[in-house]
Amino acid sequence: MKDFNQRVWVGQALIGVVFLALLSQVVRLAYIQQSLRPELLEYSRRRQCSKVTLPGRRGAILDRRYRVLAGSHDHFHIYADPQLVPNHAEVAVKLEAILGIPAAEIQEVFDHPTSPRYVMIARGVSSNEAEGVELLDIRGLGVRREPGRTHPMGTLGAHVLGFVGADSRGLEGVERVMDRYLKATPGERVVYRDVRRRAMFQAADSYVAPRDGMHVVLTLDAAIQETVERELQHRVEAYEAESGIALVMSPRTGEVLAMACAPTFDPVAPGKVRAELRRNRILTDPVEPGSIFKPFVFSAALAHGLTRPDEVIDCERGMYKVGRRILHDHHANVALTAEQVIIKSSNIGMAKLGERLGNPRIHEALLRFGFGRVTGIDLPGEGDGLLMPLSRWRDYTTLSVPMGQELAVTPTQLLTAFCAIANGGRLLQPRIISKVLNIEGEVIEDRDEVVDHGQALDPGVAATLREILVKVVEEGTGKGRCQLDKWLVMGKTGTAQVPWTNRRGYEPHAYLASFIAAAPASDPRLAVLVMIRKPNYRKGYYGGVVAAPVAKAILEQALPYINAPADRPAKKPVEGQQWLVWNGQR
Amino acid sequence: MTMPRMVGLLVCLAVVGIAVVAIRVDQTRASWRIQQMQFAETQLRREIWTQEMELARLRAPGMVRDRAARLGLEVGNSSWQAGSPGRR
Repeated sequence: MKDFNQRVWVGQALIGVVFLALLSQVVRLAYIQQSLRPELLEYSRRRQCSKVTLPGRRGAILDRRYRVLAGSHDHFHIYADPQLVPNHAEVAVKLEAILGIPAAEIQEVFDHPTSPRYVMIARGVSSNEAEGVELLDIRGLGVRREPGRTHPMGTLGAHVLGFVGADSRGLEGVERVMDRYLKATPGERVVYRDVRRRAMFQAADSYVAPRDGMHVVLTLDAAIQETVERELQHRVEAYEAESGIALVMSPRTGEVLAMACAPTFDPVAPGKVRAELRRNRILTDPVEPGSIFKPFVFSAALAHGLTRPDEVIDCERGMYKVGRRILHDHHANVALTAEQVIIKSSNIGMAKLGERLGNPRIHEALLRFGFGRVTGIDLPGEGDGLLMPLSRWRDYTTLSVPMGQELAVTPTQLLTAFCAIANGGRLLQPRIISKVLNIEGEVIEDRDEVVDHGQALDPGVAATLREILVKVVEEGTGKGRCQLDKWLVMGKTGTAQVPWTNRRGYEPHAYLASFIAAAPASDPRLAVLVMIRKPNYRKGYYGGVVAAPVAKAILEQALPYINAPADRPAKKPVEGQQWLVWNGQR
Repeated sequence: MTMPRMVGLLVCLAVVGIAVVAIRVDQTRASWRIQQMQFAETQLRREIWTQEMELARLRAPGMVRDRAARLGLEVGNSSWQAGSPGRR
């Protein structure tokens, strides 16, 4: 009986222990379910699932005729896990056959990897090469696709477009200033993976589609831009110049049609050139303009009634002493009419007009033309030039500024002001961004509105000045350099000495040859500025010789391209000739 | 509970179970197809990008000029000859 009772007790104790053990497990499970659930779910999700980022496409930059200047497409990169690649030497030989990289180099990467499980074999390979690697089907070798920036027109417009960094963010030019429109929003999806981390299937409702960036349409015209870059580059090379810039604008609207710096750079690999070569010098670098600046001061003299085009001005036989300063003209002119002062680019004539005007009126006229402040063009990094405040102008300034000295202007300021002369006196803000389109091609933002900063010049004075500037090309310093068969060109040459950057005075034999022009002169459709910096002076350095022919080449190709009507008066037929003469065309 | 009712209940449960499995299979299959279509869409989008860039390259003025020159057509009117500064 005692044994029986003892057994019962032992049995009950065992049941109790088992019960308690089960109860503790239940409590444990309840605890796990209640307290550790989120943490464990997260752990499980991390082990099984992974988030895959789906890159979107950065928007394209288009020219005014919707040609793609910068776009995006897949770039292929070949990578490897050296620990998984079976036979390094054999694989290296196979890759050499496809990629053209020496097998020894590839094997070196396999044998001495920078990271134990991931090395990059080649970046930016072609789609065919990537396909070839995929077809090899070698364990540990893979192809990664990443959307990257591409420039289908090569280096065309590089200084305007700018470039993007490794993270696809715009760092310069339009890429930078329009980054918020161009950038894409990446999508994502969650995939379940097996124990070897291979993707099995996608988690329900986890797909978020990437959103492509918007497209930006510029006022630039790729055809004109190509012409400008080609002609400028040829000239810079031919004259062994340090650099050159060219800018083409529409005087009617302020639209920039072409903007080029030479030498240029490849926006896909901007790091290969020095930073100063990547800078858009048309916007950033002020220059002492020289004679090209004379029309602006001359217009002030006309506007204030201080001279007439036919007034005779004593030009002192080419040497004029004012105080301790002696001014020289290139030719020893005895007397010139006021318009000849511009046509023949007389420094003495301009200095005398400057004396008549006085500093306040000159300063005020320059401010009206927009000098001394940024033009407001929609590109980053624009400089405002160097126009001293009136309080710092001295007597010498009265003589220097009319000749384009003692001040510095950016090429953008210069051509913007010249457009005011060409269009009847209105100072228009230069523009380069035309529209923003969404991926369906609908206009999201229209920036095509002309921004008018007011009347810089009386329309009558502007018309008179246009006539004088036509004579510069027909019979003055630009004669024979920029005359076109069908169109009259108004223009002004300039040959400025280049000042030292670190001390006073000018570099010997260093010149800035420039030419500014607009055509057709009767109703200008295009305005062009060309500046060639430090040409080999033995080959030539005058603006009319070095820069004007570039402007001529640009105009004679661009004017027919935009269907500009001819305005050169028809030549009288020579007696005996039977040609039909109409509108300047035979 | 009588035997027929028990059987009826078991049958109902079996039918519901089979239906749930069938629906789950369909859902997984549809999800797989959606995933495949999303892959295809991504591939097509990328293919379009590549083709657009190729088209843009062919429309480049320099490229057009070169092709025209190869065909013997005269494009533009540049009087410039490279390397001869005194020509104009």
